[in-house]
Amino acid sequence: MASAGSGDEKAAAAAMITLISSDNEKFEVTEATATLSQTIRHMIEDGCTDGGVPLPNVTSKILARVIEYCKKHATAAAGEEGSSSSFSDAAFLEVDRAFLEELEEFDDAFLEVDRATLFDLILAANYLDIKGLLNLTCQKVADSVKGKTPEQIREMYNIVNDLTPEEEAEIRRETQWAFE
Amino acid sequence: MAPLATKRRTRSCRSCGSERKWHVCTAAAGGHRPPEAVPAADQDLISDLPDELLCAIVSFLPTKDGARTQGLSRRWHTIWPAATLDLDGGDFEPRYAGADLAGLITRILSGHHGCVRRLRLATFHRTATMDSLFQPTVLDKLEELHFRYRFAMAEGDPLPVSALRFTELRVASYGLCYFPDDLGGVTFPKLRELILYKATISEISLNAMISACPDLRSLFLRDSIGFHRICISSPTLVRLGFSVKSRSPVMEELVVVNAPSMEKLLLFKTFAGPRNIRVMFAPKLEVLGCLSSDMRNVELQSTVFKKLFAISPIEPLQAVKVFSLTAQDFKLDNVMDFLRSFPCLEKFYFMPQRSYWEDESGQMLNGGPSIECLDRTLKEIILIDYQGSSGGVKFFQFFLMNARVLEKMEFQIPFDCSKKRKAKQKLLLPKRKDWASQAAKLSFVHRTNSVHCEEDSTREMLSYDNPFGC
Repeated sequence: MASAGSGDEKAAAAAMITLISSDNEKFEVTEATATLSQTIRHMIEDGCTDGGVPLPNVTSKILARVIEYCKKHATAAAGEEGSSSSFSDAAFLEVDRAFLEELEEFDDAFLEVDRATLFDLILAANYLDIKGLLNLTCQKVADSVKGKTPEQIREMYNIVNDLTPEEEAEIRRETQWAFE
Repeated sequence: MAPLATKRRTRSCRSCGSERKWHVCTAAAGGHRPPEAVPAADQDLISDLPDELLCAIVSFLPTKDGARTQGLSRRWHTIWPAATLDLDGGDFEPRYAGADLAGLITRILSGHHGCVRRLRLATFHRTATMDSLFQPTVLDKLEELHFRYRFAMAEGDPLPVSALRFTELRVASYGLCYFPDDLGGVTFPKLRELILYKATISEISLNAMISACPDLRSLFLRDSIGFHRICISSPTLVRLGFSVKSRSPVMEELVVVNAPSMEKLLLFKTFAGPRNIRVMFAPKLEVLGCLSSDMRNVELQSTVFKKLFAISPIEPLQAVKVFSLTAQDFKLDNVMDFLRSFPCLEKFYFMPQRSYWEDESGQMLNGGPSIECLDRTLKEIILIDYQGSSGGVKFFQFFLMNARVLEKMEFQIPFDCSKKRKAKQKLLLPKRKDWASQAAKLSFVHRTNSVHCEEDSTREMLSYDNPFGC
C-alpha cells in the first residue's frame, strides 16, 4: 500500500481518510489534505467515507501526485488561518513571503511533468474539484500557447486542422484584430 | 461537415481503447500499463479534454491569444466565445483608439457568450455611444471594472450611467470623469474595493456611492473633487486612502464617524487638505497618517489637537502601531502629544518640512510623566526626506536617549550621501553608551520621497503602512 507519508501521521489525532484509486491502490491522508477536494469534502459531510473513498476516474499514479499537491497546499491553508490579519508586522510578512515563495517553487517543480500527465492532472483536478490545482494546471497549458500562431499551436499539440481553406479565411477575417 | 477521424481516436482511452470520458480503466493501473498505452508523440492529447476544460484553459489566455485559438479547428472555433473573458482595452492599442476601440470592444462583446469577469477601459475619449458600451448582457456578471477617460477635461466628462449598473462587482475604479448628481438607486452588494481617481463627485453622490456598498473593505478617494466634507460610516471598511489634488476648492473636513473594522487611514499629499480631521470611532485603527501641521484641527476620539498640540486631556488610542507625521522643522513639541496618544506605537515616520532650520528646544522628559510607547514599544523611527546635518539634533537626541526598545533609526536622504557627511551627522548624535537602547542601529538610505503618481499604482498605495511610498 502506498502510504500518504510520515508527515501526516504525526498528527495522530487528525481524522484519516482512505482514498482508493481506479487501480485499487489505497492512500491514507488527513482530512485537512483530502478536503482541499470539494468533491471529497462533500462526501465527508454526507458521512459516506467509511471503508474508503473510491475514485474510479483517477489512477494511482495521478492520485499520488494530486495528494502531493494537496498536502503541500493544506499546510499553506492552515498557515493562513493561523496568521494574524495585522499587516504592520513586518517580521510576520517576511515569514509569509518566504513561505509563499516556497509554495511557488513547489508548484513550478510540480508542473515539470510530461504532457499526458499534465492533462490527466487537469481531469483529476476537475473531477475532484480542487480549484487551486485546476487553475495551476490550466494556466500551465495556457502559458505554453501564449504568443503562438494557430499553426504553431497545431504543431505543438498535434491538432488536426479540419477547417476548409474558406472557413479558415473567414475566421481569420473575423478575428483579424487578434493578429495585429 | 464530415465526421472527424481525429476526434473519434482521441476520445477513446489510451490504455484500453474504450470510450474515455469518466470510464474506469483497469488497464491503466501502475505497472500494468500495456506497451501500446504509452502515448504516441504525435497524438492530439489536448482534444481529449472536454469542452469545459478547454474553455477553462483558454480563459487563462490574454484576449488576443484566446481569440486566435478559434482558427485551430472546428471544435476549437466554438471554445473561445464561451470562455470567461478578461478584457483590457489597452491590449488593442495603439492600433485601435477612440471610436475604433469602442467599436472593437462592442464587436467582441456582441460575439461572446461566456461571461466577462474583468473589464478595463482606461484610455477612452468620450464618444456618443459610450453609454451603449456597458449595455451588453454578457457584462452582467462583471466582477472587476476599471474605467477612466484618457484626459481630464475642465469638468471631466460624464460617467456613463450604465457603468454603475453592475451588481456583481468586487472591485471598481472610476477615474477622470464626473458622476451624475442622481445615482438613481445604485447598489453594489458585493463590492469590496472602490477607487475614485481624479473624479468629480458631489457630496450627495459620494455618500450614495459609499452607502451602496454594504461590504466595502477598501476605499481610496484619490485626487477627487466636488465635495467639501466627507463622513465615513461603515461597519466593514478596513482601509481608507485619501488625497486632495489642489487647494482649490478647499477640502474642509474628513470625519470617520463609525468604523469598527477600520485598520488603516492613509492621507496622501496633505498640504491641500483636508483642513480638519476627526476620527470619532475606529477602535481597531493600527495605521494612521500622515497628519500635518497644515491641518487646523485634528480630533482623535475625545482628544482635540490644534496645530498638532493637544488642547484637551489625552484619550489614548490603544491600537495604533504605525503613525506618520509631517510638520514644520524638527519640533519635539509637535510629536510629544501624539506619542502620549499612542501607547502601543511601534513605528514612527516623520517628515520635517524645512529641515535646514535649527530646531527649537523641545521639552525633554525632565522628570515629567513617562511616555509608554518609548518605554515599551517604539522600535523604528524613519525620517523622510532628511536634507542635512544641521537640523534636528535635539530631536534625534531625545529619541536615542529615551526610546528603550528602539531597534532602528533610519535617515532617508534624497541625495547620495557621502561617507564624510554620514560621519558628520553621527558626530552630532549622542554617544552610543548614552543611548537608551544599546541594540539600536542607525541607517542612512538614499531615497527620494516620491509616492507613485500613476493611476495604475493606486491599489498598491493602499498596501503601504505610510503615505510616503516606502
